[in-house]
Amino acid sequence: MRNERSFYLFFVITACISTLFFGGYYLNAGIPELYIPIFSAFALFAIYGVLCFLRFVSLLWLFRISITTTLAAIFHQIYFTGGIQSHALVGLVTPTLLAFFYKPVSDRHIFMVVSVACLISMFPLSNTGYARNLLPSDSMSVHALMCAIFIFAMISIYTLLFRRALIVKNKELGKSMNELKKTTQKLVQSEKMASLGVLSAGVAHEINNPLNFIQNGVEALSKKIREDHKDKEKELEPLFKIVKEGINRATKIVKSLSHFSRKVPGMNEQCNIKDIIENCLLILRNKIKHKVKVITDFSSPDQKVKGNEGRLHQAVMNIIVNAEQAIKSRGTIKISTIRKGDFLDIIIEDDGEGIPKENISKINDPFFTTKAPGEGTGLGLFITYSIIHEHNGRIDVISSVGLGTTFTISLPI
Amino acid sequence: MKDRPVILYVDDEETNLLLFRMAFENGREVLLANSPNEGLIKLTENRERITAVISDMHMPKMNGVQFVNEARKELNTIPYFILSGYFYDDEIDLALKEKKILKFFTKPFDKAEIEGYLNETNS
Repeated sequence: MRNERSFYLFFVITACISTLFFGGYYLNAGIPELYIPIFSAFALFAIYGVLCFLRFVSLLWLFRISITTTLAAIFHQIYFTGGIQSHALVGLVTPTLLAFFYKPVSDRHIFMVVSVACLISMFPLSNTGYARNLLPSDSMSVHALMCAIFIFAMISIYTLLFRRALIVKNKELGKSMNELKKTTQKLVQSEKMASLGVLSAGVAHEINNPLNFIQNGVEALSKKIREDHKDKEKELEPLFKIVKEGINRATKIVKSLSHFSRKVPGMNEQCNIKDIIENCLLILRNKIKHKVKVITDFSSPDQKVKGNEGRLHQAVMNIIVNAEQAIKSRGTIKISTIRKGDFLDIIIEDDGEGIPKENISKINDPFFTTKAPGEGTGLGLFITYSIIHEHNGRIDVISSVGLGTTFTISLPI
Repeated sequence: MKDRPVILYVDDEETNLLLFRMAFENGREVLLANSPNEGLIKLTENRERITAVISDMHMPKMNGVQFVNEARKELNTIPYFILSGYFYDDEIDLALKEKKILKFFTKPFDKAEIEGYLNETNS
């Protein structure tokens, strides 16, 4: 808006100088019918300038009355110099009227056409004017040029002003559009996570209580049998074991759902990514040492991100476990960290069997798994995804079947 | 010889109460209450004897933390625990930070874990 105002002021100053100039010219030529209205126009432009400066009238209306005043002044000149008889008048009237009423919404080039049309029509108009011998003939071309430049400048400024306003408005619109899109996406995601949280908390409670009945009921039962029926103990032991295994599995799955309940303990810990990766590798060492060679490269000097250490452990662990499971016989897992701007990238690369194209889009879905029942819940990567999301980070996956998979976790520092 | 420690367990589900008593009555006296209000009454009646209180979290009328807040007005010298089928949440987090509750246990409960805490605090 500030820029539009200064454009207008520039326009008014140009108009004042022009009218002063034209007025002086006609005064010098001794034609009161011309210099009186032109000097009045000068006074009007001066008033518009003051109004604009004081912000009494809106810019759009200031511009409209300025254009009207300019047109009145020009037509007055044309009428008195005899230009009204020229066929070229149409060439001036039509485009200027168009410029006044046309709203520059889609086609900004129209103004350029308009101003050029005005410019061209000025010469024959002025020439006709001299036929009435009102003006000295030796200054004929100077006068024609002056008129032409004046009209050209006026319409160009008009175009620039509105074009600029349009561009600014468009930019603002585009920006808020993008913001809206982002917010909607975020909202949808958080809404999803929230309803998942409410659902999983409810389900967990409803399942945990009966699990409590079973676990502790069986516990009491087995104690009773140990005490009263020693002879049956051996026979029943495997059955108790199966029941306990069932309870353990169910408990584990329900516990893993707790990650979707939005209430998570502190997100303000300083987490050292290098330590987290090393801890995960330590925990997994026995499981992987015979099959996988692990290469680590912690080249980034700054390994700290803000977040929840436990959750990040879990996120990294899930990906390393997946990498290990993707390697069927022998293979290598390469883990590296690189700082990229305000982000720390954790890259976990395996040379395992890879993820088929049709599954790539599904790997973040809850309960999607290609593992045998009981081996995987299908929640691992989904949990990782939501943990990284909580930390305002992102995960990228590149995979090709037979060659391996690369997970890149980017976390803000 | 010292008296057997007395613990109070509050839960709105009868089955949980029964199981809890069966699991912990060895070497302890377990008082049961099936609502926070009953819990408060039992606490008042036995305030000289009770050495620890364990409560469920989600119960009608008053949740576990609210119950602990009320109970602490009556008896502030003993440890309080929450045993819940729900997840860790902000309310529990705050209660733990303010040391209103000593520990948050989840169902299905791990007898050894709770036993450990009780032994530590009840001698």
